[in-house]
Amino acid sequence: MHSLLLATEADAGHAVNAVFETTTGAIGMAYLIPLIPLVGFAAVLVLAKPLRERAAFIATGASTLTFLLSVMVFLQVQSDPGTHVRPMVDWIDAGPLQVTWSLLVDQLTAVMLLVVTGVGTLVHVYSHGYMHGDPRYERYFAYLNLFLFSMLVLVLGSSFLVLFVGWELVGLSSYLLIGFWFEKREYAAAAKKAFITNRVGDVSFMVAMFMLFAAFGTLDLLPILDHAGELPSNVALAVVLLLMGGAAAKSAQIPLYVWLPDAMAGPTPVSALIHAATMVTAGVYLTVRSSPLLVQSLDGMIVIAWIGAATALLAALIAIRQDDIKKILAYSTVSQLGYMFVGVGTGGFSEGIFHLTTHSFFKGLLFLAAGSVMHAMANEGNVWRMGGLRKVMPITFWTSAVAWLAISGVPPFAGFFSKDQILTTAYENGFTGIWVVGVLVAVLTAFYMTRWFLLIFIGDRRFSSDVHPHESPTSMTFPLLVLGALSLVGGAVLNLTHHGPFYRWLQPAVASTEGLAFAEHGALTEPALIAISVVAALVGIGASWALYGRRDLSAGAIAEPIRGPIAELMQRKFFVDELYEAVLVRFGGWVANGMVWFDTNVIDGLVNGAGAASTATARRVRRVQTGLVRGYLAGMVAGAVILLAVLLVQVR
Amino acid sequence: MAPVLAQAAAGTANTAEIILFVVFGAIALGAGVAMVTMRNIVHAALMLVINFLAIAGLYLALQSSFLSIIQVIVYAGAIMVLFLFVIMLLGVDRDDLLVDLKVWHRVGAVAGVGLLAAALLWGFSGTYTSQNSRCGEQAPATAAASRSAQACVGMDAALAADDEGSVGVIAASMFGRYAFPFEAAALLLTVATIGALILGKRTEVHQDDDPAFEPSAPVPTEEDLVEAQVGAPIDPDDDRNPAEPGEDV
Amino acid sequence: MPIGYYFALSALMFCIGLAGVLLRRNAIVLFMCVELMLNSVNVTLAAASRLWGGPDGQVFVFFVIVVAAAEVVVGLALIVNIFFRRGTLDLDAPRLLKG
Repeated sequence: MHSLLLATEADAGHAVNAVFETTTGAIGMAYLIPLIPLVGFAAVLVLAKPLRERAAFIATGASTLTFLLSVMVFLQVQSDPGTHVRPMVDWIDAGPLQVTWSLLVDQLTAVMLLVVTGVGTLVHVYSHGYMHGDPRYERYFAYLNLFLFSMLVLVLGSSFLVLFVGWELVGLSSYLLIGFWFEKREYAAAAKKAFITNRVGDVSFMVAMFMLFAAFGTLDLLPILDHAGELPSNVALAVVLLLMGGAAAKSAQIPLYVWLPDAMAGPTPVSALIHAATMVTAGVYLTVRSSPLLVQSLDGMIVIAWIGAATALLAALIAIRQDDIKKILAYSTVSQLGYMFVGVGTGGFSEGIFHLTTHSFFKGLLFLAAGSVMHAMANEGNVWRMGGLRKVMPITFWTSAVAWLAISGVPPFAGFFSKDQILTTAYENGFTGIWVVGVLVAVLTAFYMTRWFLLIFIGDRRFSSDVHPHESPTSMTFPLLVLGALSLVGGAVLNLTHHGPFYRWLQPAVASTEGLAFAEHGALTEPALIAISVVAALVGIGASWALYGRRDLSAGAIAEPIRGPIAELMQRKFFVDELYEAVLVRFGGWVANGMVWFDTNVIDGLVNGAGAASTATARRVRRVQTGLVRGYLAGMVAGAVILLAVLLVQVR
Repeated sequence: MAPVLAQAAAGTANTAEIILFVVFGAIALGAGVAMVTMRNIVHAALMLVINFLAIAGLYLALQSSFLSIIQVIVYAGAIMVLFLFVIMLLGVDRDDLLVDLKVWHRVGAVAGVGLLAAALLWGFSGTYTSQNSRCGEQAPATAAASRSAQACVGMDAALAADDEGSVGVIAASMFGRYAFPFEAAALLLTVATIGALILGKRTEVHQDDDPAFEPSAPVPTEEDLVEAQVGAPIDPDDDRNPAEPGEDV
Repeated sequence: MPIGYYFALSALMFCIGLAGVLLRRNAIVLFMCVELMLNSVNVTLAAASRLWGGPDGQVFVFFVIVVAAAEVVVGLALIVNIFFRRGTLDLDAPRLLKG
């Protein structure tokens, strides 16, 4: 049963979702989607002792079940397009603040559900092989399920507050998973760094929510997004910037990206799931979901676009000179997330989501392949100690090749379409400067990814003879194959042209940019733009091939051709972490020490001082108790005399 | 005193009462002061006996003959005897060395007590010491009591109403109105007796359960106590117990 | 003779006994001073009985004597007990209550 709750105006050319209240079908059961992983989490923890390794199957089963449910939800949304609200129980009923646990399912939700549960299930399967033999094997799977639950709450929530609950839980799950091998201090520190950096963004998000509540009197998505036009422009700008602050932490943009490279301390499947496909995309999801708010402030969108561009450039530069197989991919993720925010900021909301989807394919694949390589090389991470692995790991090699070409933006692989469409949107909406940066980043991306690929798989072996790499087991290669297929054809199938099926399907769920006052765009036509993108990719690949593919690199890291002071800067991540440490951490420590001093001396001093004062007073006063009988008698006599005097005076 | 003597001279006052009052009052006060200041404990106890007897005389002056007899029998005859027994038992019949030596204690106590006495006297004067307060047949014709001159009714009327004299008057009241306190007093005496029996059990000398114990004089040990109780040990060289002639002791 | 003279006399006796309580350290002597104070009160009561013309005061005196007797019995038993435990009758010696 559904009824029309809100009939909204449809812009010319931009379809708008009708709103339904749905309780039947897959959407009626949509509450199971987050619930099943939650139950799985609890079940795995409880049954870990008796079942041991087999408990992992509970987790994977839960994930698969959730994926199937997500598919069903997707099908229902496709057959019944619109914004479906699945009402659930009330949560907060405190005067003006009313929040329920209702679910909001529209096209955007369906996309996110498929990405999250699909990649999630593949990672679960992969982890069976990768984490085999780990002493806390069962707990890992429990955490994975917890993460799935958190992310699904985030995606399905119909209120900013419910989204925030998922947001925070995702941060927690990330902390648990990054620091999974907490026995190593650096890994535990990396987990803390991730959590704390995310906290900073959470504050920004919370302030945005406060402002939204103050402006609209509710935190539910639908009323806010429908009435977004009523915000005064300065409030809209503030809200947009604050939301971006939250997104910047979760999606690793400037200035809060510093946790993501360190997060490579976690197991590689975790990196694939959380730091490639899902958690880091939560920020993109938030901004796209809030697109009606974003379009209220063009200045805010410009800021977002430039943050994305700057982050993409910075991360790409750093990635060029990284030597760890996962670090390169981490900075690549930061860079590609920058692309997504470029899409969001320039008005290409659907394009941003499209890139999110394709990125989850090829980046997830890249991370899983890296895991496969590390698994084969006994956890060796330095690319200079690899090389020539294509002969011994064919499946990994071929799937990695697909992913490499996809991320480099070579047609017809997936990444080309999404990246190009973002850049096209940027150019057509007048953001020429951002477009230039985007093209430059495309060149750099192709460059460093080719470097990655060449150093690992091509050329001669640079590792000692007592290392015997072999292909990974089926549990690990199966996800590689699936993702490889998706990276190959996913882009073309989903959205071959700029306004292809994916774009059109997603349009009603995002805001229209019709009324925005974009700048005039240049003279280049779309085919020209496409050509430039392709050329950029080829230039990058070619340059990298020249430097790394045709040289003798058997000397190891010394053979790195890119040198010089700038290269050193890139390799040292531009000293951003050190800067933060010196300024923020030290300042924070100074403040904290001040607080400690205050607490110990002033507050404790007051409390202890009260005690000390009473003790000192008591010590003086108790001298009255002499223990002498006659003294007490004298006291009694004195009292009696006084009473007598009072009596006499009164009587007389 | 001058008004009293004038009355005595005028023959309007009850001379017997005045004489009784003055004599016994003086003896009572003197004995009291003596008791408080004497260092020999036995002497002090004896002074107290004299005090009690003087008070018995005062009761006579107050027209309560029953009380005076009771005072003699119970106080002077039983309680003081008990005191003397205890003094003998504990063997402290020697000089009491435990006198407060600090001057400011003495001065302060005397001064304070003097203040109290002055206050009390001031309190009693006026209302009860006016001429209207004379009792019995000396009561003035105007028996109206005012705040400044309380009239004294006297015991004559009460005694005349009862043929038995003062004992009957008291008995009528005690077994009538005050029957319950009477029985309670009897119970109290029983309890006190039992308590005394229990408390009187001998225990050994313990000084270490009071860490702040500070005796001013040396504490007698077990041997001293034994010696004190049974008197001096028999000294064969003592003349009081001369050995039989020919005995070798 | 005004009845107040008896009151004055008993007030003086009371104060004498009070001075003795404050000044003497020997437990037995102190007890005797307390008895002196009690007796002064008795005299007051007897005089008051005469003042009001009824037997009530004298009955009260009777009861005071009874209670004093009981008190002396128990008190002296206590004093004996204390003497045998401590070895001295000095009331300044025990300082258990010293705080």
